Amino acid sequence: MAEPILSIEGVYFRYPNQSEYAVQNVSFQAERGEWLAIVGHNGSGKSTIARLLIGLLRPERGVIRLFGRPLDETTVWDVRRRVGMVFQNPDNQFVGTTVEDDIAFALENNGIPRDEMVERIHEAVRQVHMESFLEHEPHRLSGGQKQRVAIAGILALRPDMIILDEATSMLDPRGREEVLDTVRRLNRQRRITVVSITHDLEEAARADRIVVMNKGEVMAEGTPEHVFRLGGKLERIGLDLPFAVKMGSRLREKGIPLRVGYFTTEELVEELWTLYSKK
Amino acid sequence: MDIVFEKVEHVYNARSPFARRALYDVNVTIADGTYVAIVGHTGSGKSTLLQHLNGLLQPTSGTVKIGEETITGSKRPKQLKPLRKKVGIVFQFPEHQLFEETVEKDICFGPLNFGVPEEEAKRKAKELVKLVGLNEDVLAKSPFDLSGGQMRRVAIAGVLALEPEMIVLDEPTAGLDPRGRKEIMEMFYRLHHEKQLTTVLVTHSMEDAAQYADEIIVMHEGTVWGQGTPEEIFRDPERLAAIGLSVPETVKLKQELERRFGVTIPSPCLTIEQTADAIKQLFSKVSVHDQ
Repeated sequence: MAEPILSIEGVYFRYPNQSEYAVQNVSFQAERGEWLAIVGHNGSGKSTIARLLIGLLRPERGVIRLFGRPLDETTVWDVRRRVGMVFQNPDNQFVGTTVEDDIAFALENNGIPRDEMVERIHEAVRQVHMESFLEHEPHRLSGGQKQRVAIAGILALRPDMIILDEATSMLDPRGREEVLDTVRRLNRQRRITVVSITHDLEEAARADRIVVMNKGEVMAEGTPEHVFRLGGKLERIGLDLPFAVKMGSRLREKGIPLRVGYFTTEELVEELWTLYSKK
Repeated sequence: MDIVFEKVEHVYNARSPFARRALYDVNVTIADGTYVAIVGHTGSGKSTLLQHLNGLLQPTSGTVKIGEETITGSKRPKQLKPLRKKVGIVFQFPEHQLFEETVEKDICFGPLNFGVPEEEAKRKAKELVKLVGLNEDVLAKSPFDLSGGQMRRVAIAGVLALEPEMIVLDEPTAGLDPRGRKEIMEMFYRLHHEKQLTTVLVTHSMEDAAQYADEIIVMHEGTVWGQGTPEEIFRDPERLAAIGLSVPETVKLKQELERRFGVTIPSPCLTIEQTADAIKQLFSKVSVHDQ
């Protein structure tokens, strides 16, 4: 395995005045260019992990390493410059009155010269396919468009990693597709490492690897194929399996001898067809 | 209490340069006791439509009949209060509307405003927290110390406290995790039957519409594109796709199977259970032919 871009080892954290740990003994890694999904129900500790990763919270025990260096006061600013975070509610993260101003905000804060700023803004909106909205008010865009603008704001800073913290959970189905397609493209073409924190296993199915959180601990880790084999166990901790996985297991219960390990409706249809034509 | 829309039009900022027509030629009937789902894209007029259900908005032309009351562009009942009591709206993210010091006070706020004696309001609050699946001990807590899912339940209890005959739900599960979503949907389904409510659900989830609704109203670009049972609405996936809407995953699967296998599946395939049975049947037919 290549040098991990992100590794967390034996991390514990609890909120002030709480006796129980929100996160305990959590360890995992992500490689450069990988898409890692962290899944769990509300209160499983997954959003706490997002905040730990960019130094908004500090672990009580354990080590977080990003880009080969431990995360501490001396490295946290560099880490925040290289890691962009997209939050759940698209309305809570705008400061500019136009899309262009909003993206410029972070660049100004980072002291980027004006000419370069203009260039970076144009490049960023092109990457999220929002180039015709530069003059628009962010608040009047659709949910999916708002999240794409938020991503553009991050891209303008040329990040190495993007963290999506439930970034699609408030969007309608079309908005969700827009955002996830954009992220997939950036991940594949620009090799930006993606950490997506979600309770949506359909979203997690697009990741290279999944870490399943339950009650503050890592319950399982592996490729989507591997993790979805947990089936009922995932449902018992409050997650909803992808449709094809659910449908497949119901069909197996009814005596149709399907194999395990597909997540899309197309794959399920092919599997059924193979069985059907053998009859 | 039936609700009947006749040729309803709604123009925002009418007679101004910013006029925008959000609804036109809307003719729908929501019969007493039915569970109706309203689906459509963001911007299709769903939210404008639902605000007509208790007189928050009045039509700029046409009429809305809510039980005995009639609301038109020029005339609306002097007393909207009784109407507001009959139709409870649970808006998106209703937990944002919590404001009182304790959960009990928050739930009692509506009934007290409508003149219910304090003792009775408190007794009702106690019943309601249980009804929405919370423990009695939350009554004394600040609503802001609860989790997001619990806050939402408290807000819903506040709407139910007015004992509405009809409940209107605008994306009631947005932002909840899958378990929370399922619990809330099951809760409304139970309330619908136990309290014999008329339920109107605005949703993006075709699965929820298929599973819970007796009838679906499809909105498109400000008017009613179709109204019918889930079976009728989801019979023609291509037509829905043309206006950018999808069908439940089970119906997609059925469609794919019909195409790949060259067969017709008679079942509407609205739930996983129905679909599994239909596929099972498809496989058993083949075996019969073989023998």
